[in-house]
Amino acid sequence: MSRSRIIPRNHPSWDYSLWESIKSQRELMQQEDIDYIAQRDGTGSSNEDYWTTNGRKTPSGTVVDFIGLSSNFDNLDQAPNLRESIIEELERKATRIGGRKLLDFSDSDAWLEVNWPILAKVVGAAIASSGKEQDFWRTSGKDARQSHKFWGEMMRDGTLDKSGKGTYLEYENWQELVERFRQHGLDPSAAVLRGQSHLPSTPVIVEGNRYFQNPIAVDHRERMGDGWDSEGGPFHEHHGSLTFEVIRKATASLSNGKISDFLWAIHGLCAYHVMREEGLIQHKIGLHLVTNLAIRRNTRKVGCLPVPDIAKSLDTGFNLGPVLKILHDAGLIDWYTVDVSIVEAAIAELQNR
Amino acid sequence: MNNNYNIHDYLKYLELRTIFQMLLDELDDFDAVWRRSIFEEDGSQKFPGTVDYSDLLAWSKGNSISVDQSTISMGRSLMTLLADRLRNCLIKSDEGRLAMRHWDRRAGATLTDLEKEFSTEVIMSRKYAFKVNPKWFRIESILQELFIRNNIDLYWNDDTLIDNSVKREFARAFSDTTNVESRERMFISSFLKDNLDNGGHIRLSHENKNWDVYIRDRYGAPPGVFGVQEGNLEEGLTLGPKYLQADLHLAYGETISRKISWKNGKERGLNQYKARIKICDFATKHDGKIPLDAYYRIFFMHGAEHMADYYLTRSVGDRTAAEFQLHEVEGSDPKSWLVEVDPGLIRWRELHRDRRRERGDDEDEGKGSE
Repeated sequence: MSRSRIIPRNHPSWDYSLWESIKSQRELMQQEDIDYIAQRDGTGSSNEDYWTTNGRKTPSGTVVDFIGLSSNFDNLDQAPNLRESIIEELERKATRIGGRKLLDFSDSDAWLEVNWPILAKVVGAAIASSGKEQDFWRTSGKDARQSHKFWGEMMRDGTLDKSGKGTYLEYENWQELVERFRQHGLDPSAAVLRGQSHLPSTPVIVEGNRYFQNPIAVDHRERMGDGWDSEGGPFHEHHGSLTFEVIRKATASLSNGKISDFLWAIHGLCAYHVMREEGLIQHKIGLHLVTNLAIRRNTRKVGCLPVPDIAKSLDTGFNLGPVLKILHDAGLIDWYTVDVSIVEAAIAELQNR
Repeated sequence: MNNNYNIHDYLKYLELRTIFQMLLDELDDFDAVWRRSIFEEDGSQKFPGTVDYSDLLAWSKGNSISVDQSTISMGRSLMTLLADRLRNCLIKSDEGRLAMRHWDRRAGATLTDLEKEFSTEVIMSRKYAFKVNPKWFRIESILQELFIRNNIDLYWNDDTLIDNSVKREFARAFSDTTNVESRERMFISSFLKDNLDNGGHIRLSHENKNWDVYIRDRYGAPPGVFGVQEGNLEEGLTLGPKYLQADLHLAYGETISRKISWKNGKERGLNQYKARIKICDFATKHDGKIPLDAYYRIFFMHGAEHMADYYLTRSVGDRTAAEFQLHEVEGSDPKSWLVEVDPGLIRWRELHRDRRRERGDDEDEGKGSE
């Protein structure tokens, strides 16, 4: 293929039809091939050897790689049909952790909706950490580490509300906390305020001049149990794998039809992630890559997208091979290959429709 | 070679001028919309709960850029600080803990507060011979921009506004430019420094611009106040229906920051901004909708392809962002979709046209945008 994209630039919405016409001829990417590419892809997302429209050469022929949001998320489509029972279950969970008085369930749409942009940033931070653990790169990002520190300090300085709404900071104390973080170049305040738009995943719920911890975030912290360390030691070193473990458990629940368990875990993960404005790396590899896959799947049922096109649009210096391996191993994406001639024929057929 | 270099420089200069004018226009639009939304036609102030925020919301949908960058954080942080301080005082007054006549520097920010806010001091250490920290030139620029637009008031001490004559002097000094590049133009910082011991401070203007009305409408108010929507401004009150769901002050602070950053070439969000204009122009002519392929292409043409999907759903986590709905085109093969554009975003674009009509400007930026 001598074009710059697999899917013609003027018809990006052919992504749906392309995958539908070739998916029966897909091959599941093997773990050993994923590991092989991850170790050798070291020149950024535009790597000519792998992510090219001419296809990737393999012993069995030339193939194009396709990735999509994992089928583990498929059951999420059922959420609107089970609205009442899911909300009831979420309310029960809130009551169980003593957070019912603070959490408002009247906007059920918000509770059924995953905050994908924030989840994508969480995943981005976890990828950065996980990649460092696996020696793919040296930087680990500071988002998750700072989030952890933030909650520790908010918990320590907080006052327990007598009416049972949980722990809060008065405005002046909140300001002091924020100022301490600004000393290190991180500003949780504006991000936290903006998070108010999506109650289930907002880190802090503001009532008057009281800043309450979102009970779901507190529950998330407690459920992480021994994985967390008040000194930030083990957490700092392993927050990538810990985060992916939470996501794996959540998607396993989803696969078993326990949608409320999945939503509760994911809202908790998002609410816990306070540092939402930082980290270019997290934005590139998390926000844009994951939201692109999730949004296309959730809004238009697009199964998989050609990796060369994704690489082109991301245009990042970050190595895509290791990123895709981490996402795949975490159960977040499905990865397939399709013979390049099949892809070419399918595109030609779409052009003739 | 030299000629090429000059042409390149000139084109860059033209682009920067365009950015500057666009941002200036956006800030002017905000001021104009604010004036007609928050004030009655005769200039008297409206009560909380009676303001129609739809045009201000439309403005924020057009100006709330998708990814926060370091260059826009300064104005946002400053507006957050000032709005929080004003809100805190309103709460205390509502609770009967602090009569309004006793409001002091805590209703706004002193120089010390600003130094804490931005984690740096105006004057650098002895090692640098007491030079001004370069960061403060930008902070001062933002303060001046807020001041000439009446968004902040200056107080000599805890409770005394500066005289009108002094205010006019400041306004004259800022009228040529709010771009600060030397210590001599640090007027507001110097004022705050000179009056630090007396309680000299800045406040989000509740005297001239009625920011208190916005704060009440955004965060609520106690029950039983005439014309005021009941909400959660009072401590301990159950969360009630809020009147306004978006943080206009954040979008405004970010836009001020972008204007201040334009000259050093660090302006962010221009491509997203241009893409929004094109999307609106197309949708306006096609019943509020745009084909998904055209939507993606517009982002691609403006170098923001990677932002296209994120922008579609950004409203989930940010109420100042535009909402979009996807509709499958019945019977299409290959399947295709239409994007229904948030009427608020389209209204933002209409505000541009209103402005051009008022100025007698014939140029139509939207021409040929399809």
